[in-house]
Amino acid sequence: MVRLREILLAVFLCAALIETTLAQNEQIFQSTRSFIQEAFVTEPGKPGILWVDKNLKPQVRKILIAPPYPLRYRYWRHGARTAWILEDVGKVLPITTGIIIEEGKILDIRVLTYRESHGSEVRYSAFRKQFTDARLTEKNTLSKPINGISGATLSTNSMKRMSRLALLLHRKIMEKHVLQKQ
Amino acid sequence: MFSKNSNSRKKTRAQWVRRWHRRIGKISMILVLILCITGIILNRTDSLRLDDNKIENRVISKLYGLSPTSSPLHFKSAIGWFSWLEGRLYLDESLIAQTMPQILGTADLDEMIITASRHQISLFMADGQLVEHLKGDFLPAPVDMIGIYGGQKLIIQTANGLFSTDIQLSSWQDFKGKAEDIIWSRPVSAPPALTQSILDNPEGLGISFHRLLLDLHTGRIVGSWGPYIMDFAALALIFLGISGLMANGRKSNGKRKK
Repeated sequence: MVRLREILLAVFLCAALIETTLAQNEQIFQSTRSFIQEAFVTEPGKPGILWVDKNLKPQVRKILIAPPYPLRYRYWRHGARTAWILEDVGKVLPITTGIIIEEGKILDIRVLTYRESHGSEVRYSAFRKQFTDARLTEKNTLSKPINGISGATLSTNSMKRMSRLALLLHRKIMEKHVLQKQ
Repeated sequence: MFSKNSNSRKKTRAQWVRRWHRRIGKISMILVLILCITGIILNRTDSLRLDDNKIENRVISKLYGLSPTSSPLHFKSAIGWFSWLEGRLYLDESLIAQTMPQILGTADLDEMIITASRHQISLFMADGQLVEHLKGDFLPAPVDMIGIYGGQKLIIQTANGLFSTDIQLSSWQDFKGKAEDIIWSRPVSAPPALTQSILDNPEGLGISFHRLLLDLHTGRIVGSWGPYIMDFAALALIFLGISGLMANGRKSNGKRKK
C-alpha cells in the first residue's frame, strides 16, 4: 500500500511540475501590424474610428455582458472587408483577437495575444475554423454553433463574444458606408 | 487446500475493496458533491443566465487575488483623483476599470483623461467611462512618462525620444517643441480618506456566477493545485463506482450460493 501511495504522489508532483512549466504569462502570437497586412495584403493605413452611439450601446453591452464597454473601436476597411482588433477578458486577463469580416461573414479569427495561464488552445486553427462563414443572426448571436474546448470554456466564450461584436460593428460600418454613398 | 487458500484470498480482497470503498467515499464525499452539483448547474448556464449575474464578496475577492496587498498610486487630474491599485483604476472613489497595468501618469485633453502605462494608453470620458485602450503597434515605443504641451498636445517620453499626438491618438509625431514647457504627470499624495476608502472597498466589479461555478467545478478557485484535487474527486467517483459494483457482485454471488 505504501508503494501505491508513493506512486500516486509522484504522479501528482510530475503533473504539477508540467503544469507550472507550461503556465506562461503573455504570449504574443502575431502583431497587429502583421495581422492587418495579411488581412488586406497591403501596408496598413490609418484605421477608422467607430463611436458606439446610443443605438449601438445596448447591443454592445448585451454581447460583452461585463465591463469594460469601450466607447470607440478602431477598424481597417477595404471594400466589403473589415478587420478588427478586439479585446475581451477570458477568465482574469484580456485576450487580444484579430477578426476579418467580409460581406457579413467571418473570414478569419486569430488570437494575437493570450495572457491567461489556461485555455490558449483557442488559438489552434481546428477551433478557429468553426467561426469561418459565421454570420450574425437577428438576435445578435452566431449563425452556427461553436464547440467549446474542455478547460478553455471561458476563453471559448470570450472568442464567441468578440466574433459577435466584430460582426455587429462590421454591420454598423457597412450601413454607414451605404448611407454615405447615397 | 487450494480452494481454501483461494477463498481466503477472495475474502481478504473483498474486505480490502469494502474498506477502501468506505475510506475513499468518506474522503471524497464533499468534493464529489461539489463536482456533481456544479456540473448540473453549469449545464444550464444559458437558461439560468449565470453569465449575467455577478457576485461581489470579500471572501471571493480574496480567493481571486483581488484583495490588495499594497497602497494605491494617486494622480491628480482636472476632474478628480485617479488612483491605481493592483490592476484596478479608480476615479475618486469609483472603480472605473480592472485588469489595468500600472499607470505612470494621467493627462487632461479636451475634456477627456488619458492614462499611460508602459505598454498601454487609455482614454476616459470625464465621467470615467472608458473610450478605448491602445497598445502594441498603436504606440511608437514603451512609455516612460506622459505629459501635456500647450494644453492641446499629448506627449509621451520613450527610450526613442519624445512623441506627440492629438485627441484622436491616430498617429504619433516626433515632438518638435520646447521640452521644458511640457507638464509631466507624476504620482502625488492623496488625502488619507481617499486612500482608506479605496483600500476598504477592494471587491472590484465582481465575479460572474458562471466563472465562480466553473472554478469550483474545476477546482481552480483554490489555485493551480485545485484541478488536481478535483481530478482526485473524479478518480474517486470512478473508484467508488467500480468498487461498489465489485462489492455488490460478491454479495449477490453469496446470496445465490445460499
